[in-house]
Amino acid sequence: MPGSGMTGHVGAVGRQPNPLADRERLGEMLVDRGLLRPEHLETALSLQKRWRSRLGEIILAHRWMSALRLYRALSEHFGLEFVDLVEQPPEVRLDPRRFSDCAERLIIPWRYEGDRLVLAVADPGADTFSWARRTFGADVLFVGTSKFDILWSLQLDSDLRLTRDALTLLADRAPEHSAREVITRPQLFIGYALLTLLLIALAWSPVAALIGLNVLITLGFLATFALKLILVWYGSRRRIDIKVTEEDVASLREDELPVYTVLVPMFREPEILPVLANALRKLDYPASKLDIKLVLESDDRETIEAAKRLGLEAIFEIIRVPPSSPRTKPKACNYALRFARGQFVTIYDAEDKPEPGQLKRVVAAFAKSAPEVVCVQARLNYYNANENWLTRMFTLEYTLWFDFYLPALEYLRIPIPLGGTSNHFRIDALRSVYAWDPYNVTEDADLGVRLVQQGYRVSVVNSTTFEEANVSIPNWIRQRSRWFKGYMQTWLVHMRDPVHLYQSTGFRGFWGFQFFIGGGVLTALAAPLLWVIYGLWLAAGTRAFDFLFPPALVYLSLLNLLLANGFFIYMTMVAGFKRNYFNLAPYALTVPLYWLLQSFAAYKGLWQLISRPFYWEKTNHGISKYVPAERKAALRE
Amino acid sequence: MALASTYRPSARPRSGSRARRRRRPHSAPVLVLVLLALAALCYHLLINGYMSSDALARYAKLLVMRDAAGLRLEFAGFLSTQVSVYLGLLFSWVPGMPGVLVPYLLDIAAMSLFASLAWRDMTRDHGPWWAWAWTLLLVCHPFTLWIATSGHNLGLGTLAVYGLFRTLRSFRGDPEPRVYLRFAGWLCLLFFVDERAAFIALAMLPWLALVAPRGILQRAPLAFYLICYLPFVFALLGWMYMNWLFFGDSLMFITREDSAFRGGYADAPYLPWLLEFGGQWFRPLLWLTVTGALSFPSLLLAFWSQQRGWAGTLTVAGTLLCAGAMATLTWFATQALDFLALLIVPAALGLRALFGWQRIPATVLLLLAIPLGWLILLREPLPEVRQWSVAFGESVEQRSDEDIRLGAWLAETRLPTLIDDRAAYRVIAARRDAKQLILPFDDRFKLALTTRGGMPAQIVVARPGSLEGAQDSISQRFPQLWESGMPGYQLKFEGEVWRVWQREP
Repeated sequence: MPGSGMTGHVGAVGRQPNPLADRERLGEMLVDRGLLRPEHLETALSLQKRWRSRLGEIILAHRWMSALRLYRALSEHFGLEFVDLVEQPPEVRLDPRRFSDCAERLIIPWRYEGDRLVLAVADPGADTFSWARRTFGADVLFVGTSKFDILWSLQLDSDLRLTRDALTLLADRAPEHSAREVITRPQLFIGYALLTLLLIALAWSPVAALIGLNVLITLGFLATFALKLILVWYGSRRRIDIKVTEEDVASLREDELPVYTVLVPMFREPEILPVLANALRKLDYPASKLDIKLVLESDDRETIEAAKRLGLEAIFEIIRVPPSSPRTKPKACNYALRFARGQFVTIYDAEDKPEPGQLKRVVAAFAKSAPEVVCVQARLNYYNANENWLTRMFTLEYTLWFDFYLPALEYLRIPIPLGGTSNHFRIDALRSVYAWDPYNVTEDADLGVRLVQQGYRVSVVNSTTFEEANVSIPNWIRQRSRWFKGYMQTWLVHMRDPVHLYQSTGFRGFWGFQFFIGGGVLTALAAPLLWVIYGLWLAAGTRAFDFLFPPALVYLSLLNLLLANGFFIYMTMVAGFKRNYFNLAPYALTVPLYWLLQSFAAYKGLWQLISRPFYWEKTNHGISKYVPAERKAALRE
Repeated sequence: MALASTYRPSARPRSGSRARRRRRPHSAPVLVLVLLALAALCYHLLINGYMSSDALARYAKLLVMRDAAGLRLEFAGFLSTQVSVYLGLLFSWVPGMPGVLVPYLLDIAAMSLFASLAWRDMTRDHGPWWAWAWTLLLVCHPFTLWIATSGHNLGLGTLAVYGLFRTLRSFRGDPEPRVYLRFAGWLCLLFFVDERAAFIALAMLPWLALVAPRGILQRAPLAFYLICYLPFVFALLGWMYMNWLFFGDSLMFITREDSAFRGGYADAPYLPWLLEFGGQWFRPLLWLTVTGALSFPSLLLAFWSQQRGWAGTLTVAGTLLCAGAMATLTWFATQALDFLALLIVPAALGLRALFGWQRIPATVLLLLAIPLGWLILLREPLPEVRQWSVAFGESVEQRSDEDIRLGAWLAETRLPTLIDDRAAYRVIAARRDAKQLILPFDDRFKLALTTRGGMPAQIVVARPGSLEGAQDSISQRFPQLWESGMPGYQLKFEGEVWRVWQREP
């Protein structure tokens, strides 16, 4: 309501912008006033030509001026009063429908002066002013402010709503795809019905029932093995491996590159911040077109303080996520996504080191792909592969997963369970499917399947992000149990309507999903039981289990025992050869021990699915022996 | 500590540009023509009275699997490879297919596939006409004809050896993982189709160094050999496990004298090759090398071939010759021909790497190889080789007689019959089915040999001291049975080798 926001503020500060400001040269003014060195201006101008970015963004991206000075000078350049929104916060509530536009254009209604609305702008310019007049009325006035003040104010204004949206948008608008309800009533009913059937069968003919159960498990193993065999066969081809060539990347024009949002959710990881910042600085992408958001929990004081102390460039923004339950990474990402200004968005974990050319490669991949491709997954691998046995096995596993399975899944049009980081989205499509499910602890895997269910496609790009492999078994178990729990959630969510899943993904997609996601969980859970039976039989020579294995089943079980296990060991070994990890090859022989760990994690995940379905088992990062030196090097740089 | 902060270019998936897939030349006409030609030749040989004992044994095994064993894995035994048995079963279900021809057909099909693959490979490098000419000459080589039409189960092995060694070409430069998968897969398959696989795999170890990717071999030789050999080792361990699981002896397939893993002619009374060279390695190696070069003189051209092509040819030929020598050293019951015949593989592969100017000399040498091959094949041949070669021109006299007579008699006298198929495979083949036969894998057989009350209505026993008697477990368990019979049983069939005792009504 006009006038109602007027407070005791003394003197009117809102003004019309200087109409000639666009024609005057900001750079020269900055140099004249001694705020910018001439050589920096020269470089900035040449970059401006190449990148077609705002001069101010280029200057800030290179830290040639402090943000505060630049925003003050910018305001002055446009003839606007500069206000600090922390000291003089907005007094007008923002219409929620305008939130995204305001976040994108860095503008916020500040207060009323008389009947005229005053808007605070951090990115003044003819476009911004005319949009503001069209939207808020022709007689609006303006003040200048900084980008960080706008973001801070937007957060303060919409905190509750944004948090609620981050948590409930998917669950409210597409409840069938939300894991908020772990298991639906029909699923429960089917589960009980199957259990009852099994009990009746056990009572009526226990031997036949147990044999039947054994047949199902054995066939499940066999189908999982067959699927992975096919995936490895396709994935082992180099032809399938190529998405974007060096020529494709070279042919990109930097002035046409879109703004790219990078979300980095972190929680209690202050130590790793310099390393992360350093890795992101190395990205070969016009710095002025990077919109990097450090997504921090607002009660995570130590990481927030560490980020402030680092004095990062203006391309880094801190988004403080208010505490709410469940405290999950997808919820934080959903929250931060509302502030994203890019055409594309990606997620990196705190310890990630993407290859410098990754963003360009992804842009090229999107350009080459069909319009329905809305997500591109980069490969993940580890930089500390040789640290200990666990990191070696983890590296081999990841190589198999990202360099063999995922390209083959894409080739065969089977839904791809996205990896935790380095998945790049077209932001519109991501928002249209209500982004990540905050109740799913493998929100990435779920999102990959959901996108396919919505008629989109997911692709894989030949660029790698190097992460820190887990060096400690308890930490690994925590992470893996969360993954297993998430896969179970994902399977349950997408099997709520199997007919729709089949219709949307097709025969290959449907069965691929069953045996890639479901099969992975089944084998991890069932394997220890079978090993125990086998071990007892072997050690005690008992014939107590003979009745469970009629001849045909013996042969199938033998196939699983000898061929499938042998194959998986061999594949683990072959995986290393795609990345020249020759020294890891002998370690592949020990992979059965790694499977044991996986089974343990799978049972833990199952237990948590029942007891704490939304609990996010935090993986500690930065515990590699390389990290301290890495941090030191990053700080030095 | 720079490691953690350095992007390691070598750790990126190595990738080239997305190459357009080359169109494969159509090899179906070659396959069909070679198949028809070899089938016609084989038919001619069979009409002329040639019959391979090995093919008969496999035919008998097919009957046993089909009629008596109920497709139980362990009933096929682990003393020989099983792939040909299962493929034979598949073929035998083709309507109108005489079961006795199935073993020959398998070899012919395998060699036709070999010829078509070789043609396709040669076409890529030299065009279709040279490929046609060379394929024709290779197919006409007596060793190829022996593999394809002798019924000795050599075809699948030769095909697998070709499949294995043709992948070596892809080892050049920076091979992609699929190359290793293919190589290891073929080697593994070879174990399941050919009992010579262990010698070939072992002999290949040093030779592989000639063709292995330099970078990998220098940086990680262990990894290279692991990736090449692991599936083969797993196959071997798996085989041992199954021997242990079903028969309680993991080394049975090596220790049993009648195992095909100890040679394809384990039941032969003497083998001139072993009598001359058994237990030695250098002399047989020398002999194999010289006769190999004479049989396939075109191999010598490989020393002037393109792009280190000589290394590939030398690796393949060297591996096979060394495998032959190793087999002789360990008294593997074989004839030199069966290893020499495998040299058809390097001969075919070597042609791919020839320069343009070598095409005519190669053709002349391949032509020359045919008479030279016949000369070597007929030098001190085994009786069966002689029979086979004679059958090209005239009828040969068939042995048997008594086996056929007994088979026919048993076909009419349909009673539960105790019989050992390892000794009586000819009889079973002559009977043309295995219904109501009680065979060694059967619990009733074991019961009959351990308890008197478990004897069925009819017992077939071989004369102790005969070749069949040495393999007949019934005769060995009851040495007096042939002579004196058993209380309550009367003699119903009497021959020089076989007798049948039938329970009195």
